[in-house]
Amino acid sequence: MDTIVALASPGGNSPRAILKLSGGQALQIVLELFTPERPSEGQKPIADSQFKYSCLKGKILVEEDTCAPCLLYVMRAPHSYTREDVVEVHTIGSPPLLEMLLEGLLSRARKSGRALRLAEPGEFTKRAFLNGRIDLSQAEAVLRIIRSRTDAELRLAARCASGGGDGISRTLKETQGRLAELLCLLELSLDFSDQDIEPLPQETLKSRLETLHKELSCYKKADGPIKQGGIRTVFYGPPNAGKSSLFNALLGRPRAITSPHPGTTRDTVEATLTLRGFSFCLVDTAGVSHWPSALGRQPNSETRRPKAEGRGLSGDVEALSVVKSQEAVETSDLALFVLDGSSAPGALESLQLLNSTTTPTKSPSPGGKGENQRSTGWYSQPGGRGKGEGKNQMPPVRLRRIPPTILVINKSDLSRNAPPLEPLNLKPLNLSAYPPVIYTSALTGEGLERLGQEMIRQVLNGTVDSTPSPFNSRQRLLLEETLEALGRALGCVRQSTPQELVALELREALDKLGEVCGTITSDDILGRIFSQFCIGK
Amino acid sequence: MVNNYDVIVVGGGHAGCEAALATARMGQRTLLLTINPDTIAQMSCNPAIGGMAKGQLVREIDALGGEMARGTDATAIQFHMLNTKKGPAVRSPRAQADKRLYQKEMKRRLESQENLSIRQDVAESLLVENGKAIGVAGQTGTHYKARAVILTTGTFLKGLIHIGESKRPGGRTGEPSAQGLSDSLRALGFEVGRLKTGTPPRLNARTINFEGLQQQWGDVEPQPFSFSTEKGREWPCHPQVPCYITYTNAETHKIIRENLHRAPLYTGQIKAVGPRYCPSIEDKIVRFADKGQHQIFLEPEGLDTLETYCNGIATSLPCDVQERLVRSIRGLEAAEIIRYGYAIEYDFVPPTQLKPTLETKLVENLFLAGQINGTSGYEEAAAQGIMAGINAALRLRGEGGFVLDRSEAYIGVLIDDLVTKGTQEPYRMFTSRAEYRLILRQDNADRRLMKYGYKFGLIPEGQWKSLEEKESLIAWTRAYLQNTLYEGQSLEKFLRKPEVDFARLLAIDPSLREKGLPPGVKEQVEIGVKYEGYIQRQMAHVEKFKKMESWSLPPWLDYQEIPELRKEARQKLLEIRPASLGQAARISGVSPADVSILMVYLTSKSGARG
Repeated sequence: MDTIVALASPGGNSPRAILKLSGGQALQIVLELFTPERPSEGQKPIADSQFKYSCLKGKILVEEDTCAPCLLYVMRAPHSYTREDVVEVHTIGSPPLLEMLLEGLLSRARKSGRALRLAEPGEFTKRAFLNGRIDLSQAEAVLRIIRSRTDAELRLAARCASGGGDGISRTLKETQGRLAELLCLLELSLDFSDQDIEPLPQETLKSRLETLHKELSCYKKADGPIKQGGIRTVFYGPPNAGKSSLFNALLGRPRAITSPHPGTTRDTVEATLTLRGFSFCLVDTAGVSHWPSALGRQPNSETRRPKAEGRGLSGDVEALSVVKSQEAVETSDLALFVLDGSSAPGALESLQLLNSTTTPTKSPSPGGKGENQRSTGWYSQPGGRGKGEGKNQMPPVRLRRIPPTILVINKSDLSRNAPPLEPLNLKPLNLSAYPPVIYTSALTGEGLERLGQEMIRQVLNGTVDSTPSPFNSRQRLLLEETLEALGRALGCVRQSTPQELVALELREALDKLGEVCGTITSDDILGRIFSQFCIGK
Repeated sequence: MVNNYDVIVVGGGHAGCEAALATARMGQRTLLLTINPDTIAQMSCNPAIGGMAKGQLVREIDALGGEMARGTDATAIQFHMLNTKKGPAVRSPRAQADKRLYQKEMKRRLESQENLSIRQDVAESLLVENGKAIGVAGQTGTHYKARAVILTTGTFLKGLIHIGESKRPGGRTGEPSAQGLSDSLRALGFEVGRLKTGTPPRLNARTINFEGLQQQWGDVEPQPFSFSTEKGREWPCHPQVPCYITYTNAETHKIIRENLHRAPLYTGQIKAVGPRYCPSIEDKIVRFADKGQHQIFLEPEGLDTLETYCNGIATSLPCDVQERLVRSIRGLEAAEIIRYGYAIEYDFVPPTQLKPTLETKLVENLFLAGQINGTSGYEEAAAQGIMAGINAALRLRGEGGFVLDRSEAYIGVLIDDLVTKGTQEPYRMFTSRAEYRLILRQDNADRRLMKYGYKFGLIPEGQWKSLEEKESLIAWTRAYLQNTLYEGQSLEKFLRKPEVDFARLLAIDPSLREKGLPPGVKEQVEIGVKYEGYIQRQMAHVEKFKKMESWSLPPWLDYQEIPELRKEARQKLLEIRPASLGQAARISGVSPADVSILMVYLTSKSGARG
């Protein structure tokens, strides 16, 4: 069996973090990067399998010339949780350091030809079970772990595939499309060479491969666009509720642009916040107005964006930012639904909406029937009274998934002038699951601490999955492997190796990239061929 | 009169021939039921065998002891190895066969096969008792009894032929269809679907002006299809003839466009799905409107006939439109059509209802092979035919099934795709369907598969001996190249250079030359050395693949009992009932997590059982 590795401690900054390896080559892999404090100790646990358990103090190589102090706990098979050789690296709990270390281990192992890979969700437990460590009664628990961890991974993958907030993953998906296109041309010239089809010139193949290689190389730069880890926490709600101000206040620095005008935020903005050792990735979104205004304020008053000259352009931008906000909500781990507490009627309506959007708080399983109908509430009708504003009418925003939500009533400093919005008032709204409600003022800082505490509480009570995700490392690793395969493909082309070998490398590149942004099968490739080329006699 | 057999094969097409020969050769008294014995092994479509990926299939059938390759060698009038400019993994043999000759040759071989009877009758219904196939009822009223039945009905089940506005029942043009059998399958609980395929018009060569048309000859040194064919003085057996190439043009396209309202494909008259890779000419012109011309191959149907196959203009347009469109084409200005092109719709049994042995899940001892399983092509049919035959015989002997996996053969890819994923259109093999293309080559089909053919008694002792000889020569040569130095490096390393081939080695090493290695050995060594790195990489993948394949899913597994499976996955697993974890992983809708869950669940259960 392959040797597997994963972070075994919760994410975020902490005094100590644990990286765990299991499998036949765990020890050799770690020892390649490890320098014991007392050299005489170093070789004992490998040379002598008499040692069932040992602990070594020393330093571990994180990156060239950079070491971190660490303790190695070595458990020899079968005296470990998985009944395989297990090594735990206990070191400083800094997320960037751990990520570097993880990548260092993976790339070193790959170079020395050892089969080390990131553990699948629940894989340590699965191995423990398969090797007879855990008894039968625990099997069901194992199944549940695999299921829930995999669902978390799937959400992460969906976040990537949907493009998340910054559109980078979308371009990754486009690059994948071009790679598939090239493979399609190659397979065409292999499988249909007897047909009336222009062969793929070696030069074209080469230049396209080079472009792809260059494009993909950009992604893996150290400061590259692959997103930071952390518990994704999205701010969403109607415009002018003060989301960006709250976002900045929570961060303690003016990361997002704010103004008294609604609709200031057009794009999603991300920033990392560490609270009590937990990393949160805060995502600010453009406000989406949604109330049909039967009650409350008329949209043409101050809530309405100052009538901009280029209304058409503005409309387009608005449509885009709605989509982005929607995606940001769907792919987050935690949501802060922010309302303007100074305007009770508007807030009430928003709440009604939240009520309908959050009815299915649990089980975000896609494809479950009936969920779509239930999760409609968050409509986008900017200033719209139904048909009145036809040209700016946008389709209702349908959220396919709502993360666990905290209701934030902002502008509490102003609410003195408005009727108070007590929790009691929520009753007639028939909320099936009360979201926790926090009153804040981004201006005075009131309630911010409580909000932070509530966010942590959501993580600690298990509502939000905070298990550290190897997704970033995995993404980078897969990109690395994709690039290697592309490099080999280029090598083949330069040496005029037969094209089916180039195809083999491309196929491998596509498979690796597919693990990041969705699989492309050989059937998909054939489908592309048949739709673009007139094949067949 | 005794009508008791071990096996009944219904249908005498390419699947039926291989199936019947395999069961008879494996000692089962076999009856081949056919609507018309004169159309045994008939090439309903173009007079050619092989082609990309299909050529590999034929070589594999041959290595298992089938007849298709030998039949082709005995009757071909043009041999051509495709993709010789590319690497060995995508080279495929193809041949034009003399259609009548092939048909007669195969019929004679079937007639002279011990244990094999041929009978003219139309199978009307399947006889089933206690969930087991026990025979077939013929249209003549005869009940044919057997212990196993193989259906290879091609396009004959409720075949409906379309030419323009006219449609009439038929299995092939001029031949009746089988109306009752698919109802009998439905009544047994099988799901039955419908597919469509088509053929082009056939012309009289006397009326074709070949002048100025591009000629296409076969290879100067034709390579036989069969590993058993000797390239003696009689090789090739028949005079070799050329094909010709012409093209459609703007006028042709105009005629077609103006008559689309009479094309059954567009009037809604044809409802079934046809193959995307083999569209009719009207489909090509609608879907690829900006393409100015389409290639047509004029292929001779035989040496003793002037009938010419118009490869490239399959159509179901009305006869008068066919006439006009043909005559708009260069060289065909005065051409006379002997047979019109037509489209045919027919019943098929969606193949996810089969086990990997091609036995149905619903009825024991009932096997299906060929177009009835939703495939297209003689080679795909024959490949399933021999596999169904072998499995029926093994079944009757009480032995375990014979399943080739995706890393062993294109046949494995074919059947695994069919039974795991099913098909939405007539299924055709392509090399890109094979994950392990570098290993599954036409040149090594004997080394991959002949062991099985020999084991089942389908490969004669002599042929097996010569393969063993070949293997030992290959091993000797590999060792020799590794241990012999030339200019400070081993000959093997020298051969790895792109510009060096085996002939070069022979030129520099007299003792290697003296060994007089046969061409097949030199070829294997050269490919083995030059692609070693890649082959090893694929072998590493194969090893992982095999691990998953060998993890079998027992029949007692109750997917309803595993709540952690996703609903979609559970439904798919219930429907397909995969034989192994590997197969389960290939079902669309079954995620890696579901596979993990199955793994854990299985371990816990098998632990509980003992």
